[in-house]
Amino acid sequence: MALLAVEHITMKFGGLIAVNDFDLALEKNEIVGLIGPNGAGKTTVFNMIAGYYIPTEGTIRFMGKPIGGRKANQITKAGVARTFQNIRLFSELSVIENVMIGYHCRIKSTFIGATLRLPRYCREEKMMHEGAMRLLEEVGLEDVAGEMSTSLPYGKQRRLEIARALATGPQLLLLDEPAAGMNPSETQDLLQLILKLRKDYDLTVFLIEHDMKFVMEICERLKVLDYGTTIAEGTPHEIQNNPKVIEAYLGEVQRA
Amino acid sequence: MQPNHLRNQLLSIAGTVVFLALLHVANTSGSDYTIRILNNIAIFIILAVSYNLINGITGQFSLAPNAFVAIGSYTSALLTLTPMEKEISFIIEPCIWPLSVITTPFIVSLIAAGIVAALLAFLMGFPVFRTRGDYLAIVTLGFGEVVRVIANNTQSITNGPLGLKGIADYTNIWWAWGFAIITIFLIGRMIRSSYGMAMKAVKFDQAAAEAVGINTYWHKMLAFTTSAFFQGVGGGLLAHLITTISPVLFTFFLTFNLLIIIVAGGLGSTTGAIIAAILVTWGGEALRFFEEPMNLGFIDIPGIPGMRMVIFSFILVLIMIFARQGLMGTREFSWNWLCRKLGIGGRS
Repeated sequence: MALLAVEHITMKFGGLIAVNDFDLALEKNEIVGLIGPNGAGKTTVFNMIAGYYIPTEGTIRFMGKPIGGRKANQITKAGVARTFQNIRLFSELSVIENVMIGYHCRIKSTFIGATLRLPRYCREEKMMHEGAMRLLEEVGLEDVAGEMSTSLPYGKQRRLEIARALATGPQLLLLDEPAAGMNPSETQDLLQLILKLRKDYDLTVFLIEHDMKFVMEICERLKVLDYGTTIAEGTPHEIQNNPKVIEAYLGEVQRA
Repeated sequence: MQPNHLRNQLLSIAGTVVFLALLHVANTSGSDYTIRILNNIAIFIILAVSYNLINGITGQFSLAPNAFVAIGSYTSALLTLTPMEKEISFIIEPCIWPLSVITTPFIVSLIAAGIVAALLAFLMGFPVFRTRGDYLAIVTLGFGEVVRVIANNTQSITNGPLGLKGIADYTNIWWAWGFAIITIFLIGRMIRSSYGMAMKAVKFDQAAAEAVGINTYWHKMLAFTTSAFFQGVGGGLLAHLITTISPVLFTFFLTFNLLIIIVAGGLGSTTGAIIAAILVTWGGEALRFFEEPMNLGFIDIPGIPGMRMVIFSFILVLIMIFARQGLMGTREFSWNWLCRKLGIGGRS
């Protein structure tokens, strides 16, 4: 059984069809990429899977259970975590608090227990703190744990957002342009990090990326969207030589 | 977890004890005027700190605190008035049963005030949190007015525009400051817990908060209801301080005053809310000085009534120009900070 099974989802905004009849089956531990020119509907696909949009048509199943139409926070709790294209950290919280907050949805204490600091909450808070510290070590941010998240350089903010997503305990990680704005050496580090995290946390990764070198190197499978429609899928090698993909990116070849 | 945790706790306890001792001195040797101002300050601290939880911490621009203060005032006043007093007050229409016959101790009436206000906030929350931003402000503003208008028209419950008179003056310095300290302690604890962190996350970025699994709706609801509880209690204390309440006390101006306090103190800072509550409540009185005739040696200024409001507005304008984030921004007082400033206690 596929971990995530997306069948025939379509997203219409009024008369505009942003995504048309999109299918996807993710197996456990795969790294799959979603590419396509700007405005092809990639982020819309993410937003539907993560619960930000309700697909106009089609079904989304995660671990066999339908999740289409459920709220974003419920889908996160079910095990799908995401990062955003434009980094969205909690600006006035410290680095470690940004990660600790990912554990909040899993604590059992009520607000009364938390306010009165009952023993169970204290244990849970300790667990949150230790877990967050471990994740920061994993992404190499343990030395800036006490700093404000916005004071970090761009590449580190990206890593922090990944750590925050991991704190929710996901099985599936959705990364929206994780390498955007990174220089080649940062991109290389990110690639190693994603591979390491997949191994350590038994993750399945679905990512959107424009950096073709990165995508071709990390993804086992690719899907290509253009104007909301899937125009190709296959291994990176197949995609690179697919005439439709070349056409979508470079335009039709003029024959004289 | 925090460095110097034990020391800070001891300092907090010591600070509270010293403060209570000072209150005792003020209570025994201060004038009635001083005590009255101290009581007012305590009540406004309760109202401002709880208002800050929903507006400053959770970032939901509610304009309904006057509704909760009104509900709290009426609930607790109706519960402490004796059946006899109610019979005398309700001259147009008699008070409805069972309100007409119950009388409870003050503390019970205060808790009831909090619970009724919280219950109302909970019910209000369902429609209110379907909206955001400006729309939320307008919806809550509407609810605030609705409560006042209801208070004006339910003759047999609130005695309408006549209001309630002869409420026992139970609120003394210990009740007022006792509840103020409890409010600061509990709301401060809540803000520092992971629930408070989640509320802040809702303020900074709602989409991202949902992405980390936070149920934004229930966290807003939690902040709103908790805030209403303490505003209800504050209303109960207020009713038993001024001993006469009527709907005109709970117009939008009450909300407006509280809003000034939390904005001037710094939206999102409990410390700021406390400092501003003190400054605004005490300052409003202190500025009366400017309404008296003055002799500057070379010129005689006659007393101008209303002058203090001009100066008060001027000070607010200055705060907004030079401290756009309010006095404290989103910073909080901490013993670590104080010790660092004083250069003691090593580790920070």
